[in-house]
Amino acid sequence: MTDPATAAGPAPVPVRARPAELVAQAGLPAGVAEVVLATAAATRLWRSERADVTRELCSHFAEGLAAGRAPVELIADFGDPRRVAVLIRRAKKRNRPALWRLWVQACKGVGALLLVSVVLYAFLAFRYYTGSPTVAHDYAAELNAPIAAIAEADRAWPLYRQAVAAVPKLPDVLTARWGRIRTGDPEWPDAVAYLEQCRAALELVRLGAAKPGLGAGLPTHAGTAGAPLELDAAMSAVWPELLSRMRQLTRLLVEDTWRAEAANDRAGTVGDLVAIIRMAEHARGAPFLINDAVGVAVLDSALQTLGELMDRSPALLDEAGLVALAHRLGAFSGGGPVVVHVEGERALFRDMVQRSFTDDGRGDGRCIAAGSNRLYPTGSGAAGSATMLDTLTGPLAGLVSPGRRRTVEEYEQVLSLVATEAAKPLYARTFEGESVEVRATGDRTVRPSPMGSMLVPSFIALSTQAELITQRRDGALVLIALELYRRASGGYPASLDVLVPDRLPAVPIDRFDGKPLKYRLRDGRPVLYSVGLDGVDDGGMPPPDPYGNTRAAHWLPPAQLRKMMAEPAQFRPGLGGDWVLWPPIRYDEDGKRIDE
Amino acid sequence: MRIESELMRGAGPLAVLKLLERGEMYGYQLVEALARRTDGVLAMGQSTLYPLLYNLEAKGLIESDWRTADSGRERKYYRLTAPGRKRLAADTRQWQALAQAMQGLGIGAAPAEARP
Repeated sequence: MTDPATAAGPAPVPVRARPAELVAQAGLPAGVAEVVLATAAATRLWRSERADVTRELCSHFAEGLAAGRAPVELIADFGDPRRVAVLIRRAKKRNRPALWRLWVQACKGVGALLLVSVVLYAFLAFRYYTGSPTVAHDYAAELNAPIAAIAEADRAWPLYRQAVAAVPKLPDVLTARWGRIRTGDPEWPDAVAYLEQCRAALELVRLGAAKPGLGAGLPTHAGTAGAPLELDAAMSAVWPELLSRMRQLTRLLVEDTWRAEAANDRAGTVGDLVAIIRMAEHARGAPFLINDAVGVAVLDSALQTLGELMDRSPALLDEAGLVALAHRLGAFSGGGPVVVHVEGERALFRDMVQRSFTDDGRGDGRCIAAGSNRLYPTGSGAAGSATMLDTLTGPLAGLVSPGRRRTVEEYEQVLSLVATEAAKPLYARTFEGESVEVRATGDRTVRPSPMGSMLVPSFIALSTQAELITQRRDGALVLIALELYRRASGGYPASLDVLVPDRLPAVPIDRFDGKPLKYRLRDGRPVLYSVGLDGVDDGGMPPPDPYGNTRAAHWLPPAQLRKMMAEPAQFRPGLGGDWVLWPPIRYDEDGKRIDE
Repeated sequence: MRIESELMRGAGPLAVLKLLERGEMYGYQLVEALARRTDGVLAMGQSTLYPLLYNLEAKGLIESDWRTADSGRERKYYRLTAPGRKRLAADTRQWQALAQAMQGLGIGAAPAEARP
């Protein structure tokens, strides 16, 4: 049924010709041309497709006109150009390449996904930014309760404050070595002159140190607002400054001890040492890690000074003074090992949680904008201030971060594990390199929580320091007992057991091996030591490395220690020797021993 | 009589395929042939025919090319493809079955009372 009146071959019309040009070439009447152009334009097809449709419509109308039909009749048969265009567009699009249709489907999919994401994000953002915390507990007030119970007259802090105010400015010549200046040093005359100016301040410190409690409370409310002050802010507002002042006063007391020694002032020497020990107890007057850290550092100053004093001037302290010091040291931390407090850190965490999550009344809730930056700081902005990244990602926190209950549970598990380990003596600890969070929960999918990550390293480091200071304190008690024995018996005992029970309740343990503290006589003088880091008794000799004695007073998790012991000798400083507690082992600035 | 669009939706493509069975045709020719050979029953305007042709083309049942007639007018000729022939055969069988079924119901046959 092929039309005989055709010529084979493609028509010489450009594929992408404009519809207007095609219509003009077809020579159609104006009304028909308008219909064709309107239809082609309304299809909104690709240019090549529009050209094809236009050509076909032109052909159609040209054939109709050639068959003798009137333009009006043809236009009426054609129908509404817009409706025709819609049908043509739909059909023509089906002729497009499969790859294009796939692309369109993909775009639609992505668009739908985006839309869903935007709606979901908007929902989460609304919940995140409109959620409000319920601050039910005033943790600062709770921590202040025992402090408030201390009578005004029994508080040391007011006197310490007065002492700080009464301390004159430290002369420039003393600043570099203040706290380490001894009789005979070039700065000594200036130090003595300065200490003379500090007489009133020193008297106030000693008075303060004699008080039962520190009595420094936390601010509980900001201004006149009714909401309890955030514990972290309350603590930051008080303790760093306060503890820094106490360390300042400690250095003053240490130097005054040497002044008293030079002046053969027995009462002054004992008074200064007792005051330092008391100040260490006062520093531990609140249950935060920072308090324990400062308390340990202050006690360490007292013990170092005492050890040095017993080495330089063993006859200076009389029996009453030695007994007073022994009683004061023996009572430190309740007489047992020096422990690190967790209550303050727990209160800090709980306070942060109550300000960072909603409260459903059943112990659960979701993270909200008010607290997300506290729990998950990006590190890109100041603490507590939201960065642009925080603002944008905050609403998603609820999708990836645990809720209130799980956050608290994870923290408590970690805290409990760490506290249990930290309460053990060094030789019994089993901390390994593995994440503490994983060990606490037994779940390897546990993500190290920011809170845990912040707390655990400082807690482990500080609890190790507490063990070391316990060992030093025990060593000082044995040293005093030995000196009292020597004065009574004319010589040192062959064994520490001889001191029990008259001068010691028991021989203290070596915190590194769990056995009794090591003791031997060398050149007629006692040597007190612990086996130290490597756990091996080397006869009371410190490791030969630079600062060897200091390095032996170090603890490593068992696995790390085994690894280190397998290293060549030059890569394991602190091994191959003991930690000598007494006599003092001194090093110059290059780590070379100067006491030999 | 014009056919309702619902019925036309099934009948239109089959009618076009059937017309193209005997040889290639261009759009206006198809319009005319449909009107003429079905006494106007299956007459369809351009608004129906051209989208229908493009759909059949998209399904690969027909194909087309442009040529210039002796008259100088351009024409786009459509012809059946092999799949188009298969579809025509299959659809034809279905329509015949349908027609028989309708006749069984007395539709498309002589009035019931006129039957013996």
